[in-house]
Amino acid sequence: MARIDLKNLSIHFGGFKAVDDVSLTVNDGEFAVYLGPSGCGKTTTLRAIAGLVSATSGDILFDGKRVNDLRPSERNIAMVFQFVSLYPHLSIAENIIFPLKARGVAKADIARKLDWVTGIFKLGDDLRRYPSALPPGARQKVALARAVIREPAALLLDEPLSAIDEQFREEMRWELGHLQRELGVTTIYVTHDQREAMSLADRIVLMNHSKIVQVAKPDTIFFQPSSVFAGQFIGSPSMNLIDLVPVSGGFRLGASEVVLTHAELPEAVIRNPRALKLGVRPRDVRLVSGAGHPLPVVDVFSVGREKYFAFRIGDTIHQGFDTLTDSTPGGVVFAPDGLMFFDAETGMRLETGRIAA
Amino acid sequence: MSAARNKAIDHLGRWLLLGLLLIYTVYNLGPILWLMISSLKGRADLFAMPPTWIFTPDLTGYQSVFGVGAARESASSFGVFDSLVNSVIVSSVGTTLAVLLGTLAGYVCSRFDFRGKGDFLFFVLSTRMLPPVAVLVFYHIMFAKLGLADTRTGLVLISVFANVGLATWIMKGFFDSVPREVEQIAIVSGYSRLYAFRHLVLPMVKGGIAATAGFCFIFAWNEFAFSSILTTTQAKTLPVKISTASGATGIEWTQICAAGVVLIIPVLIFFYLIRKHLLMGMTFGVLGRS
Repeated sequence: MARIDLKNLSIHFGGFKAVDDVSLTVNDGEFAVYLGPSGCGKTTTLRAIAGLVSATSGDILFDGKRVNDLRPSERNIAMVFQFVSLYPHLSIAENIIFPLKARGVAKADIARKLDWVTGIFKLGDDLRRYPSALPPGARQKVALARAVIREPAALLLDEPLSAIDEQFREEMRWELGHLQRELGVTTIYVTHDQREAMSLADRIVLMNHSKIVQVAKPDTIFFQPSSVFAGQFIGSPSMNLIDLVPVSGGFRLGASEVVLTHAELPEAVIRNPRALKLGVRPRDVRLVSGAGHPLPVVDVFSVGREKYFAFRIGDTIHQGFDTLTDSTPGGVVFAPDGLMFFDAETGMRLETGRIAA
Repeated sequence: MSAARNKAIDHLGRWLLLGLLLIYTVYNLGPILWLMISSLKGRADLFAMPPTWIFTPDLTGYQSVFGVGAARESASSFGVFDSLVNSVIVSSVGTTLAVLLGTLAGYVCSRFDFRGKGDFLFFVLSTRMLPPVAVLVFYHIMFAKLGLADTRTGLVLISVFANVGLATWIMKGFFDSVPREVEQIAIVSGYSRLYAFRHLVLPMVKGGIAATAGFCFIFAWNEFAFSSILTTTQAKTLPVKISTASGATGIEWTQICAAGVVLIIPVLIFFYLIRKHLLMGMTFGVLGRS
């Protein structure tokens, strides 16, 4: 178990900055999730921590000790990749004890540890089988067992669930989260799937364009996104973004006639009136009945208990999600505590305090 | 148009197709069949006109090719056996070396970036594009000066030179199809890259190595241009020997035909052995994702 510090880490491939001046501390036993679109540098960062890629500048520290020059095998980390990489010619048991054999662990110890992880992952029946006999999800479980058996200082997981069927993925996700808390092993997990990040992470490290955008607990990043990017990347369906045009006494909503008056808006917004963007999550949009509404509903789909709907502001279509049973919704209103305000120019959020759930 | 007429056209089409296929088959296999029959005929049967279809098999051709029986020392034997030995040695040693070097080079080109990698890959491939005839004279002079003329060592070098580029490219394709994670897991687990290469990656490309070896062997086995110029008496390979064959008693057709059959056999055996890997090798090794 270890604390991992990244200090001004940069990784360049030729002229391309894959990772640009990233600093972060992952605490001992923490489950940190690197989240971001593909090509944002999250996987490269993970590989640098593993030692598979070398840092162009900056330091990587394990428990305060610089490990930049240590080889991967000397860093005592374990890794699981997206595409299952079990060795087809080795049995499940041989695959699991693979890292122990590299270090010449005594036979009795190997047997004891194998028992231990077999119990955790409930792999007892499969030990003698070969990887090809197992479904992909179960193979990834074996890869996790192989990672855990060496009791690594840190567990590095590179999209370990994305190649698995949807159904099994959910199950594995719960299991993985449970397991990590039980073992208390420092874990860094890379994914582009915000739902995975939200459900697993102690802290999310959101990356974009080779830089860290925001580091926060899942709830914080959801309710207090630092920027438009963070707000839209997290949450499904994605956050609506609406232009706020300053007019006398308030802000006009995009191309509609609706004006949010100063009385309805937080202090930080009216203090310095300028072009802003309003962020509203679909679940903060409420259906209301009545004809001739200024923000008309144009389409409603039923998703079981809930209604998924589209509404219009001027010419642009936005989306909402509500549980209303009204059969003829006419328009929408926004939950006042669900409004987020972003600077139209910088994309940064104006601090208006935490909005309620 | 009536259904019956359609059916008639269908039938006609099928017979036409069968007819064409038959012609094509005879065109391809006819000479080989002719060769095989001729290799078993004595001189009298061989030149009989019209051809005899029923005759007593004469095995002297094969005896002299394999250097067994009375034919070995007979005046009509002209050293076909020695050239068979030369061919086997040159092709197998040359193939082994080319595959060994090609496997190592292919792995490096698949996994590592180095300055001039693209140029290097083009260069090794260009050695295969070179028409041998263009440079034969200079090889002849060079080999004469180096004392390599008419030696098996010289031919082995030629064979390696001609095949190592091909081997590098084919093996690179096979290595590209093995995920890098195979080594990365091992390296993170505490094994060396060499261990991962030998014990994990190589077993995964066994089929590729077999296919590569087969291709190199066939090219080496069939190689004619270099061998015909660079050898005179000692190191002649079987293809060259067949083309220049004449014994004390004139052209020994029976022997030539027997040698021709022997020349074909390794190729058949090879393709039989690797038929499973071949399809895989061609579709995902050579052309596969890189």
